[in-house]
Amino acid sequence: MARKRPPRDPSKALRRKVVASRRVGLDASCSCGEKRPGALIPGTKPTTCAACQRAKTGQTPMDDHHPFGRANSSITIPVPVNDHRARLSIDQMDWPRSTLMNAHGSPLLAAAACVRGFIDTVFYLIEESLLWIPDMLELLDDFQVKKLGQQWWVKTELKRFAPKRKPNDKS
Amino acid sequence: MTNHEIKSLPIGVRVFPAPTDVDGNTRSKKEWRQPAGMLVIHTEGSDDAAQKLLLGSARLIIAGQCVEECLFHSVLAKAALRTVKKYAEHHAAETGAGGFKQLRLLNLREFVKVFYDLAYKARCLVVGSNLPVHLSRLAFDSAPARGFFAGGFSLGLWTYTDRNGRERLDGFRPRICIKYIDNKRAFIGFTARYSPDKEDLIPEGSATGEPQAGYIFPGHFLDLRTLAFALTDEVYSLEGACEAFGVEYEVEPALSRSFITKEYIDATRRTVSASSELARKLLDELAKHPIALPPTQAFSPASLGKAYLRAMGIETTL
Repeated sequence: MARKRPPRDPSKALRRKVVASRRVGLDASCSCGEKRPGALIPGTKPTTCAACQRAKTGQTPMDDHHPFGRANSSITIPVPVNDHRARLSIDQMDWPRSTLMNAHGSPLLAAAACVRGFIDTVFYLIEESLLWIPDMLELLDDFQVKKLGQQWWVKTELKRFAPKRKPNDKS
Repeated sequence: MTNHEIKSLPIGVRVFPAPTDVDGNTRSKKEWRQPAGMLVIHTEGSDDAAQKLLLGSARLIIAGQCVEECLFHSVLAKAALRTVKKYAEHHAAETGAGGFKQLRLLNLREFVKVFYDLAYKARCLVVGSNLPVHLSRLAFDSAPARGFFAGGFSLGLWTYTDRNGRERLDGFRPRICIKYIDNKRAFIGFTARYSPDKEDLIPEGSATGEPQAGYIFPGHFLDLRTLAFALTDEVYSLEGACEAFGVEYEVEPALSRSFITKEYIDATRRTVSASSELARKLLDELAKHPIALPPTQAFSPASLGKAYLRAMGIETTL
């Protein structure tokens, strides 16, 4: 299953990724396990991520993210600081610069930004909240089959969720 | 035995004396890591003696998959430009599942910007067969090289347009120096530039990410002809190397360079495709050797031999 959408401009996306990795050093990671270069703070010893840094200084680990770009809408949503830096803002870097900056306040570019921002946010939510579930369900099914047999759900309340089939249908 | 005649035999002895100043060995002990991206380029030149750029093709490969393909051209006649534009509109890029599907068409100035982003900023591996020729076709300006590359060429690729509308060389971009050792090997590297960004001063493979004043990123330039020679001790053309390493590459019968046709563009794209496949095979072949030798520094079979000696802990004086 593809976990990430391909970037709009692969060359620029690669440049951003490589430069961000170089700034924090080779194979850098925070003690909390955060490895995404965008979330790590360059120059910290030992390497620390933005969320851990905030926790250390007693600040909130949440950021207000402008999903449609600051220039296009004042709407913000609270997101974890690490995701804001390493994921959502990076996604916006992939937008056309004119749309993100919207220097002259064009309504068409603002509309384009709303669509792009909505897509990015929905993908983020899907990846963060849904994408892990099918993997987990499949693992759990394997576990149940090994433990309770092929039709482990038959005498449980989960039976009502089983797909309805004709008696001879084996597929 | 009755025959006691003494025969003299020639004996060859190679001695590797332990160097007196072991600390003087400046060879980096860092393990070479293949860059995140690989940019494969190929260009076609004009028929005349200058062999200036007509058309080129490039592919960006990340994690073994082509993610972007582009065609680039110099100043072309109207009819030729129309053909190239029409071709780009009607053909998709040969990219993998997560790649960019559009075949990008760039002029030379736009392409060198992409080249700068990838080769210098993203520190990609720049690959080509007979690479110095392709790099020289991207150049706006050339001059005799100095320092390490003295005796070679220094190429300026990046330009800007001044107030009077004249195209001038951009000093805020590095130059590329090329010094030929012989007909199959050349040293290739970036030079310094004015006002480098902080991230350009971070040495390759740095564990801390701290900029180092005066650091010059030399680039990762890989000439397939050189690597094939280092691995086999044979001098191959691209077709020969493809045949030797089992890469499918159909060589076109000599196409006229005087006008650009669909077949001509197809052939250029096929060459880049074959070059990327050949690069993969050559890198795989080199990886079979239990030595820490960057492919960009495998200049001859002796380079491999010396790398083996180093791997065995034998200090060479060569």
